[in-house]
Amino acid sequence: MISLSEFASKRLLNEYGLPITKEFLAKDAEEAVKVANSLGYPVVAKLCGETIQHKTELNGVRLNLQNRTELEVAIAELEDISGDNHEFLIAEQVHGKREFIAGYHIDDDFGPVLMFGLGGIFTEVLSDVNFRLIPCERYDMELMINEIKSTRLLGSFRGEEEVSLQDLILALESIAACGLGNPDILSIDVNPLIISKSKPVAVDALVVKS
Amino acid sequence: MKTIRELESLFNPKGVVVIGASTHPGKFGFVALHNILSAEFRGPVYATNPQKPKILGIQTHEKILDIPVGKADFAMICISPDKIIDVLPELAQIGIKTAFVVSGGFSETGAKGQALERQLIAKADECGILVAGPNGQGIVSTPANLCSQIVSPYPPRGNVSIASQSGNILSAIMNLSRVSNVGIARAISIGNQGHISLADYLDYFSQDSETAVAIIYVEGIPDGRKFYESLRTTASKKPVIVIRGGSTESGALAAASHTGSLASDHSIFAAMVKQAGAILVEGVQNAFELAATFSVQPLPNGKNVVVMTTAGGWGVLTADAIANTSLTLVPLPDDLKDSIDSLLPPRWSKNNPVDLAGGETRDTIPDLLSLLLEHECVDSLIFLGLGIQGNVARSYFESPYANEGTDRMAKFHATQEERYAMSIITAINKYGKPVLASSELSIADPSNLGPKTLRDHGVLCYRSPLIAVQCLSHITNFAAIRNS
Repeated sequence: MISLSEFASKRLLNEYGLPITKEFLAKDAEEAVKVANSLGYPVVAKLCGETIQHKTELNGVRLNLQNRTELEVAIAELEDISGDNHEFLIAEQVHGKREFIAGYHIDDDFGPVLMFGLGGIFTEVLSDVNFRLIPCERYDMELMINEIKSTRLLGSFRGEEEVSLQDLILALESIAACGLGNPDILSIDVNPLIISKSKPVAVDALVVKS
Repeated sequence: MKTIRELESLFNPKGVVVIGASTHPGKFGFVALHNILSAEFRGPVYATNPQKPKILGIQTHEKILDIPVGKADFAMICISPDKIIDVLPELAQIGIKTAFVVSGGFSETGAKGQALERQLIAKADECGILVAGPNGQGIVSTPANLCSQIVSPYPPRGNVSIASQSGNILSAIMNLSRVSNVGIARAISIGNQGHISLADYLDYFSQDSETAVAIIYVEGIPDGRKFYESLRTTASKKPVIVIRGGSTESGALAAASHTGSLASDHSIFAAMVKQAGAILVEGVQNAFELAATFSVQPLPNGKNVVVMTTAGGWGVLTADAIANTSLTLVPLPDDLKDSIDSLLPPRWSKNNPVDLAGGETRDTIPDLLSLLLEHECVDSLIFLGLGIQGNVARSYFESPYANEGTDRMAKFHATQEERYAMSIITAINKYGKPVLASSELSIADPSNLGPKTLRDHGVLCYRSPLIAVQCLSHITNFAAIRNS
């Protein structure tokens, strides 16, 4: 099994139409600052690499960096954590209160399966996810989305707009297309898929190949 | 994939041979023959036994080839597993098209048994015989008066068909059928699915005119996608109720990704059933009661349910249960309230549930039932309180103080119960809307004329209104999907 880096995973998914964060790789603080200048602050800095799958557990994520000083401090901290083997992902800070998870995997019994559900840090605890065998009709995707328990999050929520079902379905279809189009892909995780205004953006992703 | 034509002689054989018939009532070879004969199979029945005894009035044959050619097309095989392969060519010679292998000792026992099962299937293919099982309890097909099984009782005829990976679950459903008088069409214990898979049986049920609703009990599925496709095709034609037993650990992938770890075996299975348009139900009794609902009740045109009750508390609980489903406890329009006013004293509930508050006289219940069902705002009805008057009748009939007066009253009450039940049956047919009656007396006193009359007509009297609400909710959702 090979895990693609976060950067490579999102690039691949983006080729199939999944909206992802604007982001670039940087080798050091100097490159990171250049990237941040082009993206505009605030930014996010993350450890990135094929060997780094659980960034949060490694404490390898720095969110909402407001300026050059904060970014440089963050990079210095991440360099300490990662040792020699490091690359940094500098991405725009996406704003949105609602986090979902979407995924793809090949089930032992039923073959390719798409998943959608409640994302963020409580994903495993609440386990509010739903599945569809794919390929499937758009109608099935719509049901998959609407059958989760947290459907109220899809409507207007705490001052945020109603989620565009159309865009959410397109995002799920792009994940499905990526999985089905690459038989060597065993699984895809997109977590979180953050709703920014009304549209989903993949903020983190992991593609695992055989 | 097996075609309906290929499976036809399994469910509608023209004649049956029992291979390995026994004189000993404790042996499968006796039980199978006994059950086939006692259910009065409509075609010729033959049996083999090396000693050629007469068993249950049937002269057995020493050799298969002694049986006339072309008279039987189905064989019930009750001999030891290692001998079965050898008899298949002779069975083919006398015209056998399908066989049920009761014997165990195949893939369920390990590597050696797996090899034997592969040989069995290969030989069956060579001989042009389709083999059900092995390691199953048998098959029931009431349209053919066929009870070719080694265990459970023969159910009344009906339109519910079952394919089960467990023989005992199959027996349980047939027992429920017998006690409730909601009948069965086909029932098969599918065993190891060596030759004919669950998907094949579903395909048969989907095309079978005797089957209106199917129940399947599933543990493991050899070919998940094929099963899904068959389930989807069948569920697009008729309701399929799925009971799932057991679950397996998800694969090694689970550790590597969120998707893998969240995708427990059962959640994928549950989503798959939903996607296919079938209904996943927990437990055998719930599955049977839902099948019984589909079997007897018309599909509702919408979500609006009215509860008619002579039992206040049950009405409240039923209203609560309805609130937790997608059903609507329809508010009564003014014209309907006015009509009800003309039938009931002013103390009635003036709302849904329509609580009669003890205001009924001789014809109130049948009249009110018609009034409610006639109205366009009502798609379905739940009736509570059946059996209450019959219960009074019973206490009078059994009373040490019984006299002419109590006898007359008891007879009136009992007759009323019968009328109520008949008015429910008539209303279902007349208005084409579901009417679900619930009474714990269907269990507490099966002789009560309310529940008994429903039972005599093959209509399920629900053991609890909460079950009735669940069943109504399922058939209403099914109807909505079908109409969309």
